[in-house]
Amino acid sequence: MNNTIDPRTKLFLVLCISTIGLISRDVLILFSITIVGIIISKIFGGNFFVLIKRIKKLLYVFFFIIIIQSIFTRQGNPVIVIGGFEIVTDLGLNRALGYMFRVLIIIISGVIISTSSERNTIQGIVQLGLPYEFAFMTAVGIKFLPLLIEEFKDTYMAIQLRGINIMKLPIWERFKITSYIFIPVVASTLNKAKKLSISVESRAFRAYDRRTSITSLKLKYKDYLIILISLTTAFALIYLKWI
Amino acid sequence: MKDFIVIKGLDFYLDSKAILKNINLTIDSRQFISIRGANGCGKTTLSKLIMGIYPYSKGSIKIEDREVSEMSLSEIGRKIGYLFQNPEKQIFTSTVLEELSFIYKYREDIDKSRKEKEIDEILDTFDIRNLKNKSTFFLSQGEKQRVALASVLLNKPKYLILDEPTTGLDYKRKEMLSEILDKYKNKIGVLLISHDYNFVKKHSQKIISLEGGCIVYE
Amino acid sequence: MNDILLQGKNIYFKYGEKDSQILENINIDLQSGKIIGIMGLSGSGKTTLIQILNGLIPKRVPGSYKGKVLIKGDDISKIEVEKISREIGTVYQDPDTQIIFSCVEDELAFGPENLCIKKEKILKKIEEVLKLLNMEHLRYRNPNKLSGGEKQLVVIASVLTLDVDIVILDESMSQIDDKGKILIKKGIERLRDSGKGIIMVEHDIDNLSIADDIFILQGGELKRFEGNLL
Repeated sequence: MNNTIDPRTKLFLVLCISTIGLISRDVLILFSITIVGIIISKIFGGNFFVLIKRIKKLLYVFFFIIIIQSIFTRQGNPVIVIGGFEIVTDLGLNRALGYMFRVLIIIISGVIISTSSERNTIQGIVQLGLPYEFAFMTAVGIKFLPLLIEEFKDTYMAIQLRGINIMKLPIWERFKITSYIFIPVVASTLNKAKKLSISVESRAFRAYDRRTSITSLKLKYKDYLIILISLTTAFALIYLKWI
Repeated sequence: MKDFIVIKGLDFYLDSKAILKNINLTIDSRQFISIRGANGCGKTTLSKLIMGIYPYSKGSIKIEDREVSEMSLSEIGRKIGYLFQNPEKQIFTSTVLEELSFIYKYREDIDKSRKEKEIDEILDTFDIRNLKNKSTFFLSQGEKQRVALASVLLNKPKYLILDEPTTGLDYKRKEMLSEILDKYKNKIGVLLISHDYNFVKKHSQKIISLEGGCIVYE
Repeated sequence: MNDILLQGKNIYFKYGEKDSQILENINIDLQSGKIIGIMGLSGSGKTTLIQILNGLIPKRVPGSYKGKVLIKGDDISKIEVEKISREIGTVYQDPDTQIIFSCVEDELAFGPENLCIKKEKILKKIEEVLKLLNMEHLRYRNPNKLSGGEKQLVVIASVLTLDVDIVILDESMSQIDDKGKILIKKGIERLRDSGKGIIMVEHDIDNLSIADDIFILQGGELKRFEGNLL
């Protein structure tokens, strides 16, 4: 199904989902949007859970932030009390869960967009009236993001393969050693970016203000239906003040 | 010479596609052995499985009688030095000297009093003394490779795995790499992964070919 | 006598005023239907020479440059960058940093789309190039999932759709296995037979077995290679 849905429709869907995610304070609404997003991404052929598995180490960082956020929010009624100290309040828990669902919504949005080929995504953005360069750079960024993640992982492993057991180091040394990952990744990214820019320039990229295209997108009734449903749902949520 | 790496009945799949099928291989601790094959045949995958970088579910890989799946990356790294195909991935610091000093800073099991002497020796062995204070950002491909290999050897591993070390090297740099490998030949075993037949033939005591995920001949 | 497509005359170059000369008095002529091989060690100036021949130096890469490059008799310094890309196509070492899209057809269309060529002409050009390089079966494949040799052929094809007569290959075979090299060499020979002029820059002489003439870049100078390197 993912090949028949226009990328502009997917962009619109993502816009609705992420807008609700951004403005909603209600954890139940955020949870529902997350579930709906996962289902939609699955229907479009994306695999949310495969991506989660690949970035699970990064997610530990997010969960750590969530826990810290809930502990340091003092307002609200106590939920977890240890030895007379209020560790977690209901408001803190609410905020932490809200943060978690928003992060998941961002990930789901990426998965939905990635179900279209980068060529079609670029064409969709251009037909929406945005500059080609913007669309191109976005698509290239999306293409290189998984490679960037692989680079982080490889370099983290390479540090351990020097015989260094990172988990046995004191916590401040662990942070310091993790910072060493950035040097090779940044160097490699800058190198790749330079090579890519030379390659596209030698293929006349930005030679003129406009360009032609062998691809042309047309919205079908399915697309209009999805756009209508998304728009109606978003407005209904706002109007009924459920957000 | 004793069995250092023993692989039995190893299968490996990626996205439901069989990359390696029923790999059986025994590598002695001082042996120089090469694995050849076309791009995408599974050579690098096999080396990463040995190093514990990729997990395996079917078969067995043992290093000195210990199953790789039960070892941490740092334990494997202390036994086997690994040179990535792209040496940039294993250069972490901003100068060559910092890079060579890296393990002395973070490993408690290394004799730090020997740091100056060992770094001094390796600078000469690899002919990188003139690069000592140079930024790692501005090293050429060949220089990065020498620095990465020097850093790996400072670990004093018992075995080395080199993944396509001749990629991007001209004949002079290949000669330099050859000389370095000759210096370590009788001290440490090497598993060389390469499609450069001349280089492989020059150094290897044993050559293995991988085709369609299987060992075709030894 | 074949047409002279590209000429480098009395080329001198260094990056900074205080730096040493990278290239000294380089002269090179490329004819249609010929392959020139240039060999040299790392740091000998091969990539710098390519960047001068394809106009990146001095338009995009600064340095102290003297000499002339002529494309079919016209001074390259007076030709706009977008027009140069219709004359010279450059293929670099790593195909993964040159392939952008997940369909070979899209990759081949990228260049001519940038030059505002009409859709029908682009599609016709794509068909011609795929036929020339015997790659029709790869048209709708994902180039990121092809073998190294096939990927590099896709990159070569993507510069050919710009209708270039001159193709420069910068160490395009250094990351490729033997099978892939055979594939690429066959493709390059087809280009030569169709009248293109090709410059291949490599540091491994085996990769230049199809070249009509081989030169060595050594000490900043370009000398004809006569026989055994070692």
